[in-house]
Amino acid sequence: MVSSGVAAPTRTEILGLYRSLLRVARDFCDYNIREYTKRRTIDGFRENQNLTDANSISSAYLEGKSQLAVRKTTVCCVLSVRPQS
Amino acid sequence: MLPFYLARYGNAHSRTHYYGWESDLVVETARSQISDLIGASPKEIIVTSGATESNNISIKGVMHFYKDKKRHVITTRTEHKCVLNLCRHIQQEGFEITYLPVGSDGLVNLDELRAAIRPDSGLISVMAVNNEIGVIQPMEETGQLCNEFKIPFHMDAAQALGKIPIDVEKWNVIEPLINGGGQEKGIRSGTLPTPLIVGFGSACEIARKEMDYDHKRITTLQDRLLNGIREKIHGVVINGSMERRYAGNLNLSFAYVEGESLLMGLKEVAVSSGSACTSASLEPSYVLRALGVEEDMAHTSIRFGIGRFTTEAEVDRAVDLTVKQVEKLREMSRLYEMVKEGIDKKQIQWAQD
Repeated sequence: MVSSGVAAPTRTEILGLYRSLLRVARDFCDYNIREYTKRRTIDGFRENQNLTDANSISSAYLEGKSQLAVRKTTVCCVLSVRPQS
Repeated sequence: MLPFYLARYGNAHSRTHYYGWESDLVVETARSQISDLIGASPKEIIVTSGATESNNISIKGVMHFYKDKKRHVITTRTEHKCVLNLCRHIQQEGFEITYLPVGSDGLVNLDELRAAIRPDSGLISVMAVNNEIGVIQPMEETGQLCNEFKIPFHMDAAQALGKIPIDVEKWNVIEPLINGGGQEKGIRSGTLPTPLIVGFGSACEIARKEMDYDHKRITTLQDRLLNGIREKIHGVVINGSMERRYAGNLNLSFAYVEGESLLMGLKEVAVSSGSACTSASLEPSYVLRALGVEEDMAHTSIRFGIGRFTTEAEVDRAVDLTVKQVEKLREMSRLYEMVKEGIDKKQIQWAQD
């Protein structure tokens, strides 16, 4: 099945996404969420590093982008605020 | 969830405007996400305020419906308190309950279950994963028995959902009743809390996608915890089967140590003795008693919970604190001194006897 004309992401784009995901993780002030986010990103990219088929690479990349959007929203609204002690 | 708390707060039952249609749509999406996780059909999902309510609806519902012909319920001694209380309640209404014992590994014996079935058995209720000791009951085999005898199978899966694979179709579980809230087919009325359902649905989808990854990691962490503790101290007993277990729930007893004191020394670690539901009382856990654990060992039991967000550093810290506290308490214990000298407590002739 040919994907609808969307080219697979370049190596630069993929590495850029990886760096963005890790950078956003740093903003979580909750220790557990922060560590999980970093770890899951690294494991996720490692798991997919040997993909060769353009479709799987594209869909993994898009999944990564949507995770980035979720993280940015969460950091923005919720988890970068320290509870008042 | 946030949009539905802030601006898109339509009642999912309102049929006349866009707010309502939109809420209805996301609720239906959530139903699919939930049913995908357990191998059911979205139409079978009924949303309630929690597992306690769901258990009430299922057990009382089924038994009251068939009350003319079916007067008997089979369950286990290690079920959640709400199920046991429920059974006791309907016992007062005249129903008969068989509380099956469990082995020292916490598992139900399928032969005993088969032997307990009567012509007037109306329901078999077995929980998938025990919240105190983490053992996984033989759900598929129980389902097959229920199918063979045409008895409805009620499964309390509150601890199992999202953590072990569940297939209600394959296990012959009756109409799944899961968390949420609603007007569901006349079975449970009340306005649906859209944000909660949306959140629950998303959680189910995430759990389904991440189950393998999480399970591998949690199993590794459990080994790290158990081995870390056992390398440094002896007299550590695991409560419940190690083979049939959800890795994130480890219940350990430490010989020659008093439970409350141990817990106080572990304040930095979010562990519990017994389960949250019974933590107000000092009574030793009925689940451990059902396993045949002696009272002193039951009092000294600690449940360690490991999850998706637990880190290696946290496990190592828990090991350190546990080992230190156990060693400190044993140091102070006369009883332990006697054990080290080879004296058997049971052989002692106390002056009062």
